[in-house]
Amino acid sequence: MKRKTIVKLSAAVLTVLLLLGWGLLLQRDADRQSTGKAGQENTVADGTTGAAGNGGSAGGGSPVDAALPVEAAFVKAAESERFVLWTDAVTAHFKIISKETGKVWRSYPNPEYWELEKTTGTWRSSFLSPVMLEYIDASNSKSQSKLTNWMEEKGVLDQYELTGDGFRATFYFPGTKFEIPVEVRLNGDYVETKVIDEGIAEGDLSLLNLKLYPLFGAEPSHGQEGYMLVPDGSGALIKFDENRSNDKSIYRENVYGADLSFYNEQTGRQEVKMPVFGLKSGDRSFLAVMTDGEEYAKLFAAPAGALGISNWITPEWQYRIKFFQSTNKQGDQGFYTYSKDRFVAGERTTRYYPIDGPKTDYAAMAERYRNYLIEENGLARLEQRKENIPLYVDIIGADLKQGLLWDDYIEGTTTKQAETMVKELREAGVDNLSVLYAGWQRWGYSSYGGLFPVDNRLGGNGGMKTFIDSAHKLGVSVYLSANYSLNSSGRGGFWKLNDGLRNLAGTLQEQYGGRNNDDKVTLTSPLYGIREAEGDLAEYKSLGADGLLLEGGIGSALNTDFNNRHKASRTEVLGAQQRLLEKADGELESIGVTDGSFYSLANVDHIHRIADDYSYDIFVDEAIPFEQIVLHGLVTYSSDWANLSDEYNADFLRSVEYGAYPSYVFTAAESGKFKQAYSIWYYSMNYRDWKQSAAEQYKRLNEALGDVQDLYIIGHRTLAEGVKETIYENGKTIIVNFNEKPYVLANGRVTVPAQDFIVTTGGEA
Amino acid sequence: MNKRLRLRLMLLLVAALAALASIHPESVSADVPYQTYYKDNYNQLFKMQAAYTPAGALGKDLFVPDTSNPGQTVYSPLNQPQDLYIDSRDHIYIADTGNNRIVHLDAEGRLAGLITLPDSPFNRPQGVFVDTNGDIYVADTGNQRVVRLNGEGELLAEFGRPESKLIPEAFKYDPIKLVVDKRGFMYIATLGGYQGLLQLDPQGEFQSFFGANKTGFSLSDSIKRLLYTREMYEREISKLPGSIASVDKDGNGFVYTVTKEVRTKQLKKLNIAGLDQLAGKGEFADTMTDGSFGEYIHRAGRTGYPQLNDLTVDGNGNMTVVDSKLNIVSQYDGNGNLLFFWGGAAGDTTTKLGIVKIPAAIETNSANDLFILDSENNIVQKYRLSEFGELVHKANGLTQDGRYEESEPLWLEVHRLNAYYAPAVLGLAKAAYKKGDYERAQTLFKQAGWAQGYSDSFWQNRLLWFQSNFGLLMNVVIGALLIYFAAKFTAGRLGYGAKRRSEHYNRKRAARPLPLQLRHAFYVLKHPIDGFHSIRYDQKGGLLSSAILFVLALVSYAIMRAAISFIFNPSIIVEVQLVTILIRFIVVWLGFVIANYLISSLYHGEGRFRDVLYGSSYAIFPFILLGIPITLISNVMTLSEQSIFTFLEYGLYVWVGLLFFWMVQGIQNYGVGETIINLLLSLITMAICAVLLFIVFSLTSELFNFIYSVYQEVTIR
Repeated sequence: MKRKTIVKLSAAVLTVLLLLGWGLLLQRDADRQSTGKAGQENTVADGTTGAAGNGGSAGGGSPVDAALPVEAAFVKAAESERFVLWTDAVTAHFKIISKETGKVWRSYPNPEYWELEKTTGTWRSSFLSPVMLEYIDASNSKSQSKLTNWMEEKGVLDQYELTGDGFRATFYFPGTKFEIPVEVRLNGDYVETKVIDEGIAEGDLSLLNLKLYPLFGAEPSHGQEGYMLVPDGSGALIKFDENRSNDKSIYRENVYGADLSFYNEQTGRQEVKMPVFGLKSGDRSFLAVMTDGEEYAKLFAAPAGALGISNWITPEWQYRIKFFQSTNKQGDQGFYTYSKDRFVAGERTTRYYPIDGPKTDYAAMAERYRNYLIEENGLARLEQRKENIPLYVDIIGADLKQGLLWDDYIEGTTTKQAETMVKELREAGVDNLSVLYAGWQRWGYSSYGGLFPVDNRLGGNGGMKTFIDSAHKLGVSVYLSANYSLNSSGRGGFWKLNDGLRNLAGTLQEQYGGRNNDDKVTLTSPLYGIREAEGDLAEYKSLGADGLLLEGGIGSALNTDFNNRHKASRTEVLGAQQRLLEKADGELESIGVTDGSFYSLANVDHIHRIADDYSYDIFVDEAIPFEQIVLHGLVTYSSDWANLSDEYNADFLRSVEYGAYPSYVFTAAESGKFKQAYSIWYYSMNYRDWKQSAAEQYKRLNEALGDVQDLYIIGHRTLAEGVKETIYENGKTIIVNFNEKPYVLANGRVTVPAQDFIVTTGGEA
Repeated sequence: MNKRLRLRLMLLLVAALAALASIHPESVSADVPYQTYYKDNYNQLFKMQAAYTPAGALGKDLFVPDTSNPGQTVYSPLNQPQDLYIDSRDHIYIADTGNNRIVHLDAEGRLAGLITLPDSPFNRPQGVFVDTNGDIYVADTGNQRVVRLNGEGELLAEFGRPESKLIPEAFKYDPIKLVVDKRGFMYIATLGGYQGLLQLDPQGEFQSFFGANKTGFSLSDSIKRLLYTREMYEREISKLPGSIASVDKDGNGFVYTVTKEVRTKQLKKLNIAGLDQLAGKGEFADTMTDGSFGEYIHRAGRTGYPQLNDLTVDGNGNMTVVDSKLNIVSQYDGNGNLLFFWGGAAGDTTTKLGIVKIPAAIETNSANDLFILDSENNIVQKYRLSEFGELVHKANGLTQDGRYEESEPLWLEVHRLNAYYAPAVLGLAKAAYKKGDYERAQTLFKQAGWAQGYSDSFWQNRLLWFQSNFGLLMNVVIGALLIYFAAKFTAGRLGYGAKRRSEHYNRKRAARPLPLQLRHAFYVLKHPIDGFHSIRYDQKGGLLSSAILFVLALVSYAIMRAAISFIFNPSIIVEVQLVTILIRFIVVWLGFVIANYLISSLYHGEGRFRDVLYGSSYAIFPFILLGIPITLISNVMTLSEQSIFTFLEYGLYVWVGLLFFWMVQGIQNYGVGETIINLLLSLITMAICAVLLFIVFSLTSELFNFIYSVYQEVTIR
């Protein structure tokens, strides 16, 4: 009897356990179904829509009217060798006059065309106002963000004073009670505008973002040729036109890309890698560089007709960005809200370089920016170039895929096979080769975190060392690729609850791990990742690697981290990344970054797979190699993988035009082997399939670019639709014809064959 | 669920999706602003290089003479245009619905004319067609007529609602799209016209309804029909067949239609008799695809089923369809095999080259460029074939014509450029098969995952193997038989066999019961009721032997699931992982053991828990016996022997089922009737437990989430 009870009892316990297990299984399925969908919608409107601010009430000084400044009342505030700065004590507007040519750049709309401006309401006064801003009433959770400007509120100018090289002033907003202190100064060939963050005062309302002198240099499209330069991809031009088709599209993008801890508008655009913009109107132009606090800027550009009749372009300084406050444990329910604290970046500085020289086009802007990088960031012309251009080969070591019971290891290229590959490529005629070895860590590419040692199945640390040594004998340099922004393995003492990236709501940030795989990969705290990278430097060195290629974050992306253990603002992350790069550059021969941002340039020797396209916005008229013109001769850069190209020939021609070195992604394994891999989805990687064509293209590119590796690009233009000309310092000129018809040069003697290029020495004529 | 709660849940879901999206910013591939995909016949998506690249946006700068201000032009953009047609000279005609006009662009996209028909103005015309002689047909939807104009835009004829007894009273004549065949017969798609296309002769006389869709009838419908009253059943409007959304034709006399609001056969290729040429065809008719057209991208915010809006047929017979809901462009070859697809939700902030917001219509010109009319952005996007796309078209054209050998070098190049592109593998496989290289064909067909082709080439290989190895095989068989008989003869002569066996039996029984317990499994097979009975009463089974049997059966089941040839078991290609399968096996088995024990103890059964446990382990013994043989056999079988395989597989399950039946009977000492009732109750208990557990789990987790949410809301807001 007793025994029966025990049996029954144990049966009951078993039932409960079993049912628990079953329930868990079912629950998991249900969870999967509910998270299997995705979409996008934001509950709080973001953007530039908003209602008018409230009317003005008097503050300290005398309220200002919404009108153009009276130029006759301007006083000379500063003078340099080339420019004179005139300012207005009433509106704090200013203008710069070139001593040599007498050309003028104004911080307000061109008075000549102002009467044509038909826009009414807040936008009209915004165009006239030196400061416009967006704010929200944080005390009311339902409130929408609103636009206002200093003139609309009949603002007051406080503490206006001349400083010798410019002036200082504080804009007081009587309605919304904001105080915005700014400083403008002329120095050499630029004028610098600055918002001083410490001096900003808020009333009950919360400042979201502001634009200082938004219409600096702005011009309507009236007769003159002109364009705005936006750092979209490698650079893009929005040409002046009348915009009679009434397109209201604007360009508004985060400098240095999205911050995953905050809400990001899904624009599908390329990330902004360079904190620059420019505008050319007729025979004068300016280049603007955001030199401080740019990590908290969005670049804002409005083509004529979108917002007013002017083409205007300006940084939009961010002080608060909404984030997703989740209210449940999974972090998928909640609402958008703003933080209490403002972003603090010290100063937010824009340098405007007026250009009126003989050349005012984007090549001239790029030249000025290149000089800026040399003067201010310590970049220098490339030294000790080899005779031949480098070909960059990304070798994929291994990846994972789903297996019967646990993940299967897909071997791509062992270190032995890599030796053979390098040898074969050299024999095929690639005279200067750089290898970037990825997926070498334990368990391959998708196994992020705790990278060392090299996986034994590929040969281990020893095999890697042997490979590097043998590569060096062939004059091939070897980089190891690493991603320190993700962790899926938990190795290296990583615990996602402690060391993961968190937004202000404390939600751990994760991303999908790979194809057909619901597992998520944790984003590491930026500072954790940087520390891990720092710890690995000695290992790279001991293997004899020439360099480290950073992917996925360090050197290219900035995320604010609200994880209390590794808390860091965007500015702090930027600083930490720069320090790491500096240290790495000191310990290793060279550092590469995949599609790197310009804040990392000082310590980076190679930008891998540089953006060479634009984002296909319909208001953009032309994609230009601005980034490449700036960088050629300073750091090396490579185009995107040629074996995964969408248009094989056009992309090859583009890399000729852009002076970019070729790159490929290869494995020794058959192309089909990675079919179900979590991360490496590339559909054609077998190097034997590509050896021949790679060597041929390399040879052609080498002939074109071999002797200009350390030279700057001094000219670039479109000769006809689809025909581009690139000129180097030594006069070498490359003309690329993308069209299906041959192109005859203006001199009538030289023809560029269809979908081909020629190299000459004397320009077009 | 009441409406407000549903709304709230939806909002939450939306917020959730937004959160996911925000941590996952869209990456943009170079060269084109969209990602192109291929979907294989196991519904696996593969990213691939672009097949079409954006080549320009037309119709955005339309300036027409200003009537009030002669000599001046005024900007006059398209307004909700609904249809597009490209004539033999590559001129483009746009049904500018919102402006009640037809816009005529030349081959370069410059404005060549406006057709407004001032004497008899259009009212929201939604369809346009241009005949080879230059006559323009307009489906003037708002005026419920079709008009025929000459090239200069002068009215030639007007076709109102045709008079015929065959047209039902309720039929609404709102023409939206039309084509005209060589004879001048018109095929008119009407709004909501589920009867099919209206076929009119050149005089406008009614001929017939053409290409009507069929009504779907499902299990739930038959249940509804059983339960509902006649009125209720008839009110189910979804019981009408889908109405044709658009129509096109090719040079060979086929008429193509697309239909919205259906799950299969969205795209049809109709011959002159109105028969669908795509039904049941296509390379992959035998695998997991279901004859549906219009693709979607997993995980990219799929919010419904494809709704095909328009199609076009290019010079090579390839069909391209646009989906106005999911915003996807899919291209199929002339037999309905997918070539590639691209698109996806467009960001709502910007207008981009190559990105369409609402694709209203699609057309091809003579150079096989695609033109997609965007009725939201009011422009026409133009796409050109990429190098890869062109190569695929060429190769596939040859394959479709049966010129497999010629297509081989092209497919080889396609395969070099994209190793995952199944049509290339398939093309190569067919070429190899044609050349008689069955080994290679077999490998390639397997790689492409096409069971029929694999099976055919395997059949050939097997035949060849038998032919070359027949002698050896027969020798082996004969030899084995000889040895067997010889051994039997000698053993019988010397009197070894029986004695040794009995000795063995006795010795072992005394020493270790485990082998005996295991051997009892065979006894159970032969005398199931008796065998199970002795498990209960004679302690013939033990914990260890049961555990061994169970684990072996589990392993054997796992081997079956993982290694049965893919032609009989296509799921192995998609679902590689075994863990879920094994857990499911264990859970079901254990669930049965417990449920059965509980029921039996209430239902005057005599078995103890351990007896049920042991018995259930012994009952799955056939898995051990047959699992591996079936797996092996499946790998040497072709599709033509499918019935044998199915027989074996089902036989195994039936056998196990019977054993369970006898197990209950033997262990609980039941009659047949009692056993049946006991088993039924056991199954019901299992189901109830599952439901209860599910409820308990979801409620506790919901409760926990609720408390957490309340806490968060209170602390944060």
